[in-house]
Amino acid sequence: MSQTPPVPSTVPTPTTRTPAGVPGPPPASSHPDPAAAAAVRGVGLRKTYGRGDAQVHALDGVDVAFGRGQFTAIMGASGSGKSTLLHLLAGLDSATAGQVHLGDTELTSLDDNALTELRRKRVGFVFQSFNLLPMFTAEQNILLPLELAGSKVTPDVRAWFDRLVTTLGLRDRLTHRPSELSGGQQQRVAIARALLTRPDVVFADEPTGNLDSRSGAEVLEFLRTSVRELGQTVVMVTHDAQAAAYADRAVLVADGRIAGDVADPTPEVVQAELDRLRTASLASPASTPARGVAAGSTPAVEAR
Amino acid sequence: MWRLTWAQMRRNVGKLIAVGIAIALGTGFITATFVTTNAVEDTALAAARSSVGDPDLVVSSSAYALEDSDRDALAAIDGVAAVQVAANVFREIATPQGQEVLVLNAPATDPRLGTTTLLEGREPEAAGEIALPTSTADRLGVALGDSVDLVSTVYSDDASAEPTRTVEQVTLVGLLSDGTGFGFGLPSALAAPADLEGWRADDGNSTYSLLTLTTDDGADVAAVGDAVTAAVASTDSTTVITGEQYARDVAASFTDGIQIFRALILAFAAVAMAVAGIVIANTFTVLVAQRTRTLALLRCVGATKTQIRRSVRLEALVLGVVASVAGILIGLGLGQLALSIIHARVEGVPAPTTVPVDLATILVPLLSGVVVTVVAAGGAARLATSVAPLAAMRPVDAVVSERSRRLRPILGWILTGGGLALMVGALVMSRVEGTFEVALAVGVLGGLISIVGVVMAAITIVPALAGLLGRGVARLGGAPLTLAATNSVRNPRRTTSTATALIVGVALVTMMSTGAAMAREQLESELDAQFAIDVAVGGENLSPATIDAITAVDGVQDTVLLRTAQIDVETASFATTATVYVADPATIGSVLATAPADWDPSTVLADGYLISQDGPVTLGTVGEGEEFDGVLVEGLPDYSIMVTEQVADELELVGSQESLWIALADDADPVDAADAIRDAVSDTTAGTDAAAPQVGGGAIEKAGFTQVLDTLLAVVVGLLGVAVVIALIGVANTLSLSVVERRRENALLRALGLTRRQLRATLAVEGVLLAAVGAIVGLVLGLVYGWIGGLLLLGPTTGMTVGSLSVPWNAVLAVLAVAVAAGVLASVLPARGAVRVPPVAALAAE
Repeated sequence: MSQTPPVPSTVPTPTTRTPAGVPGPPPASSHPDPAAAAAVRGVGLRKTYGRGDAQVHALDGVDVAFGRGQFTAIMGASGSGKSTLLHLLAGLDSATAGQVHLGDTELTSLDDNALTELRRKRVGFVFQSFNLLPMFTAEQNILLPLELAGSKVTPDVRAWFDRLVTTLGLRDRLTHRPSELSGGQQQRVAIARALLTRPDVVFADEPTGNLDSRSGAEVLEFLRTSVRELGQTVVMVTHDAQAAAYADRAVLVADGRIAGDVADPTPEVVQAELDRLRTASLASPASTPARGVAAGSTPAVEAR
Repeated sequence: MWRLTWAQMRRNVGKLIAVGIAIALGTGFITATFVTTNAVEDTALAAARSSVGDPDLVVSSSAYALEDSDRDALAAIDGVAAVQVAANVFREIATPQGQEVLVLNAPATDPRLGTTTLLEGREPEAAGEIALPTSTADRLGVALGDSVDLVSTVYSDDASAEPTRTVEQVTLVGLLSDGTGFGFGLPSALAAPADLEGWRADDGNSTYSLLTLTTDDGADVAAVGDAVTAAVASTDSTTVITGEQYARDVAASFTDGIQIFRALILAFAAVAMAVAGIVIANTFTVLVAQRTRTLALLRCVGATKTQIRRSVRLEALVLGVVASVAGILIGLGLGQLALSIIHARVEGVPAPTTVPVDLATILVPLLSGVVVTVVAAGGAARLATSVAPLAAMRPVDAVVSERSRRLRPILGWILTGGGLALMVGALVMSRVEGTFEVALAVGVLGGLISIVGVVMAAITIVPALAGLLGRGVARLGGAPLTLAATNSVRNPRRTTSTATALIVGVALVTMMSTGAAMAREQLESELDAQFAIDVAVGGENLSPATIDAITAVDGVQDTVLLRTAQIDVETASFATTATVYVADPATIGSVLATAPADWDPSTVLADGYLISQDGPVTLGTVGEGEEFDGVLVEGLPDYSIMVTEQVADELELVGSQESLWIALADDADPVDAADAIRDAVSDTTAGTDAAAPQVGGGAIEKAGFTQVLDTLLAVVVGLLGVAVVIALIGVANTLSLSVVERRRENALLRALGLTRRQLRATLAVEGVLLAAVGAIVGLVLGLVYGWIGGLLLLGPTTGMTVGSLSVPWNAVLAVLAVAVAAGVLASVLPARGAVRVPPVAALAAE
């Protein structure tokens, strides 16, 4: 990773917008720890389902960090734990062990209300199945986070909204309902909604999974645009090497561990890494996704 | 959030309307109850007011301690404008067309003290003049200027002496509006003061119970009241109150019953609301389950649990308010309709012309409707908050997992068992002397506990029963039956709560029917003994024409003419005067059901009021009487003796009174026959000098009793029927939700070759299964409750035992038929939506 994220002067630095009431960072993660520059960071993350013989380690001690103003893809086969990692990082699910830091905020200690407020203000989501409210227009869907927060559309927000709508090419579609939009348009509305609050990080879960390749490419292009031009941070889960190539960095997950880290990925490199992981997994039966303990041929990588 | 809630409501408007109807029915029910009872109270108040005119003050004495001197004293008080006494003389007015008893009073000295309004002619002034209500004049066929007979029947102090009847001619000089004759149930007429004085003297009355007075304009009514009180406070029984207060007191004394009636109906309304609550809870749970994805998304983008909960509650609140208001309007409309019909049918009813609305009429249904809705939706609101934000990430529709409630059915069974034990305990207790009230309370408590238990345990009964029925139905073959059978148990929780609403309604209807059937059976066997004589016509020298006319009446089977007289009777314990009937042992059995088959002509028969067991009876003047062996016979008229001609000769009985006892054919309608007999009597006696013969007897009373019971039952079943209707709305609701959920599945079935007719049939059978399960469980419960309730209420007094229990098959079959029909009916609308989905929808993505 050589590129310094371009932070436009119009975009405030995310850390300055830490909401009141959110506990401060633990002393261990304060400056000058270089990891604090990360938008979101997982430390020693474990997620275990079941107990005894039926125990499944979905995540088995993951340390990972994602840089601010970066577009990162999390890659892996089905059952590798990539989705679980995303859920933990986004505060949607609780870890069995380990910590998640969003900027200066440690998530695992937050209660439901604090997590909800954090999701409302500091995290954005883009889903595989779009998840728009069918009874709302595109504009109402985009403004939904404000509606939930009960806050007014200030001139500042309106300007940002206009910029998002223009960037995502939704100007003519604002009064349409989701059923009147194509899949790609719906996903663009979802991206606009995710970016409306200028979150610390946007999590995208297979955002192109339900789209044809052209719409998919369009959506990925917009995600990259939102990072490059709007200064946002995006973490995207995908199993598609083509999609991963839009990212600045690809983190590979296998058997509940970080299994590789590729900067400026191309489809070919990513595909080669995925093939290598698959072969390693097949060669070592003990490391099947369900029970993986000692696998991890590649050391876990601390970003930057 | 308001906009979001509103948008979600608009999306589910169909379902919400269905639940809204359930709420509206319940609140409409409550409103109609209030409107009706208010109308009755207003009517009573209006009648009470018109019974005294519009006085400023009313002086009343329950001991009839007011005298003419009091009237004069009051009239002399400063500030008193006019005083009116309530003479209240009862006299019979007779014409060739008939006769009628009226209450006579003097014309008011002050129009505000009058209780009737003059419509035509003038008020009576001189002796021999009278003014009658228009309806009475019409009935008796007299016009202004005609003369009518005024009959005085004066009883002397000597009880054994015959009353003296005198007839005088009076002239009709005025026609009055129909007064209410409140409190006497008789029409009000006016007569000249001089005549009234004379009649009161004849009757031996010199005092009054009521004086009304008006005050001078501008006088201080309170001050005058004090002066009046001082003037008349001769006894404790005398009170002085304002006219308005008097009217309210009188009305209240007549409407005490209406409060109990209102409480009773509101109890039924509560049942209807409870059933509506179950339907609401069910529907909202399903709504929340369907919105899982949306709720998860909202949680993801920052909606707090509180916001989600508030949104569901707000939805329930809006629904509750809208539906309750609709229900209130329906209730008011029905009340207005009823009033309009009453006014159109009956002229001059003092009932209000528009529905009387007070605060309670609006607030009680509104609050209960809103509270029930919001509370019932509370579970769904909690459920909605349990949706994890993570659910938005899952590609397939996540199902809301309700908290496992394994404890609930166990607790339910414990409560059911405990409640039943309490009821059985109450039954045992009721056999112990003097504990009836306690036993009743324990029994009711047991019933309430067990019904709560059954509702909680329903999840373990209903799906099992539905499965059993379904398997039976599926065996009949055919895709629709098999599909319906499996569909009906796919969502056990929903099936259960749908059926639960029906269980409660059906159980209550069945309970009332069973209890009433038992009461009726018991009553009939008792009535047979008590009213052993079907019809009796008693009077002086019944003419052969009258007897022939009666014998010719349709439904009259046998008649026996008995001579009657008054006689002094002395039994082992007391002495009194009784009516003695002279009968022939050979024929009396044909008209007296309880007549002994082997009547020894030397003995006399006596009724239960005279002797409590067979024993000696002395007949004739006290001290000189002759002793006979008395035989106790139930069913004889009260205080009566029956003797043979042989004994009558010994006693030298004299008397011109006769009684014709009539036995009706078994298949005759007692009311019609009695009416025909009454007509025959009045047709053949009108215009004669003789007093009108009295028509009485057990057949009418017997029919009256059973009719009252049947009417009450019909009303109660009708009221509880509202709960059943609400429950059936729940069935339709559940079916339509199933249709929505199985849109693609149904389309797939259609694509695979299921015809529209078969799809409709599938839903109809599913509806029938749902309704039948609810009806069957409800029937069983209702039978048990009805039996226990019947034994508890009737057992101690009648000795009814478990062996005498029976199943009211008519009611049971009717309930089952209604359930099946309703199940089919409930499937009609959902089926219309289902068959409209094209088979190709199975292939389309969501």
